[in-house]
Amino acid sequence: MPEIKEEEILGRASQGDREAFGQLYEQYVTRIFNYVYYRTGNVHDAEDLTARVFHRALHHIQNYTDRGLPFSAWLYRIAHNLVANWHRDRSRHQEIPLDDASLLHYKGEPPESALVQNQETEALLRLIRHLPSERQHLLVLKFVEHMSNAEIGAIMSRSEGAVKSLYHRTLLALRDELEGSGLQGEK
Amino acid sequence: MGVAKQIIDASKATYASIENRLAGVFKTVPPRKEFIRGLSHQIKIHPPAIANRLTDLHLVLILLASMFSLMALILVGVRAVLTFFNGRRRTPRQA
Repeated sequence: MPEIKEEEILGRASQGDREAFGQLYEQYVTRIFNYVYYRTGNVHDAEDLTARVFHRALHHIQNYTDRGLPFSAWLYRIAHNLVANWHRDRSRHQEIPLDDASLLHYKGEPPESALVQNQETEALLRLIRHLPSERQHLLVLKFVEHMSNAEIGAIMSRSEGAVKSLYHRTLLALRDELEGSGLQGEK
Repeated sequence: MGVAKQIIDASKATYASIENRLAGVFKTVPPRKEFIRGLSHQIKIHPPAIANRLTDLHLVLILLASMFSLMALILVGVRAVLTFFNGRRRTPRQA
């Protein structure tokens, strides 16, 4: 199968070619799902928001203009905005139940073993979820997407240096939180 | 210099330790296959695609049908109002 450049697929998708958009969808759905999943902490909302991201992208793809940023940056911005709205709506109606963290072990693992094995992971994720939205955004892009500071900067509309600085401040804040919560011990 | 180097090394070790833990926390989670398939189906086939398949003739027919429906609705409404007022006028005379 000939390899087609993303630019070409994007061009076709922005002219209403559903198949081309479908190709972009196939390429990015797992990444967007993971991003949303780690930002929301549960599978159901992650699926719902991932679907909304792609529906919104499909709706606005004809307005997409290539400004030298990767297409993923555009998708992540949509995801980021939807997640921010989701958090805002949720905080208006109810608090996030701490039990939601247990849903993070959705991978078909037996719940008991997952619970024992991942207690510390859950605690750390809870700490991360209490960080400001921007810092969570940065951590997910860094550790789930394995993006460089420059790529994250493109998505967050910040310079590479600003991302680096924010990253270090985030790590320090996490270290303080870990010390405060008694989770300091290295694995 | 020795103290400064120690401080730098300590902070590097702290960062590395937290980074290791974060790397252990964030793992790629595959979405459900049914979810991917379902959403793919929606994206490739749903409303706009159906709209694209409509020919001009279909659109004209839908438009005409909508207009007739609206006219029928208005006529029924007007008739109901007239019947109502006529009924009210007659009632006192009969009494």
